[in-house]
Amino acid sequence: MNKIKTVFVLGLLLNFLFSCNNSETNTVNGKSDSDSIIINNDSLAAQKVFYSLPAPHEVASILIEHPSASYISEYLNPIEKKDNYTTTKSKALNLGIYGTDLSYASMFEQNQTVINYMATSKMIAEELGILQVFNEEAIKKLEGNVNNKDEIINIISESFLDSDAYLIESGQYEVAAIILVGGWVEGMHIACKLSKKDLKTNPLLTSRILEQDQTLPLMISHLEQYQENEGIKEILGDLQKISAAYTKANSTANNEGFLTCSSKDFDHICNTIFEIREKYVK
Amino acid sequence: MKFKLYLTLILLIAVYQETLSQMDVGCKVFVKKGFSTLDTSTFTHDGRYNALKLSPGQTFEIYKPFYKTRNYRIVVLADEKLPGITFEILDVYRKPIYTSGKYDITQYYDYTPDKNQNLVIRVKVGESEKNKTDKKDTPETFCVGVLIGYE
Repeated sequence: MNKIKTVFVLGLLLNFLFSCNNSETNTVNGKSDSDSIIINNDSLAAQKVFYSLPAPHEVASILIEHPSASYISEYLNPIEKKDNYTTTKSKALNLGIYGTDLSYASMFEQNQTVINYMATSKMIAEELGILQVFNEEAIKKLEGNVNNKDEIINIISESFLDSDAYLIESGQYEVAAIILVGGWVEGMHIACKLSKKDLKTNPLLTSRILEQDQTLPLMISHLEQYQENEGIKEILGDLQKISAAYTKANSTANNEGFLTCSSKDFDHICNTIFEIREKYVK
Repeated sequence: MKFKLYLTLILLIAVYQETLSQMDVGCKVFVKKGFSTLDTSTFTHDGRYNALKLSPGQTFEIYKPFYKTRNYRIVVLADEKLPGITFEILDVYRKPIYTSGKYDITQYYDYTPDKNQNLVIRVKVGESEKNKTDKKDTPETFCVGVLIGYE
């Protein structure tokens, strides 16, 4: 009888621990200074606030997809480096990075690369405990749709949704946030490489890079919710460095409506991105 | 004897975690029902999971960057057991850009911003007369979700 009681009490204890964890997820971070969105009584009364930052395939679409963009395989993080990533933080960052890489490759119908990067993403996702995402079925669907670019993008987007849903529903908000940062940094890295750090190479691409000062504050606000996590704290420091580079650039729209800034400041933004990306993919 | 106790404990934890993971299935399957309204042949889903279980009268918000000249479709859907939903799209100063009709189960709005901006999507579950008069201590919750697609 005592054993049954012990088991029952342990069950209750587990229940209590999980309940505590769940209640935390419903708190609203009221900081609004950096994201500029006004937090009022309505938002404080909301059951939850989602920071819906762009997933890797949307980052690739926002930053890279335009008529004069080109595919350069050297810009991708090689999949052979996968085994270097041994911590949760490095795995999550590189799941985002590989996610943007496979989205970039899919835009240019580099189908074998897409399949290889999808398989690598699956392995990292499994190591992070995200099962049934980027799964065999998705990879088979990819192989069966090699000539259908739209369907490939839909398969990728559904894989990101599955991954995000798993992480959010299991309360792993930090991991979900780190994946997004990895994806965004990689998108910026590819865009900066394509621009050759030269404002005149492609004014549209330069403008899109400079427009990211809009996403950055939201990303920082989102991460600030979890800054007691040491890994997140370091990433926040990196994002603040990028943010400072944007503030210094103080971009303005030219006559054609494209954002522009001084060459030196643009160079500084891209160099900051390169330095941080290098640290993440090491 | 101790071995049996440990075995029972391990089994209990396994069953408990399995139950939890089943509970955590949450709203993913429900949200994917919105893909037809999103029209994935035209709009690519943004890959983000914005869904949770709510009871009548509750709200949630989404903050998202929107980019000029891109076409977006925002689909808001609620479980049919709920009395319906309303949603608003607000700018950073919370000035409404769009306010939906009242209390449908699935609604969508197509939007093409003329400038880059961070927006708030605010979703409220409606309250039926029955809900207003029949307040329970722990009201039942059902899935509510938002899908955002870009063209």
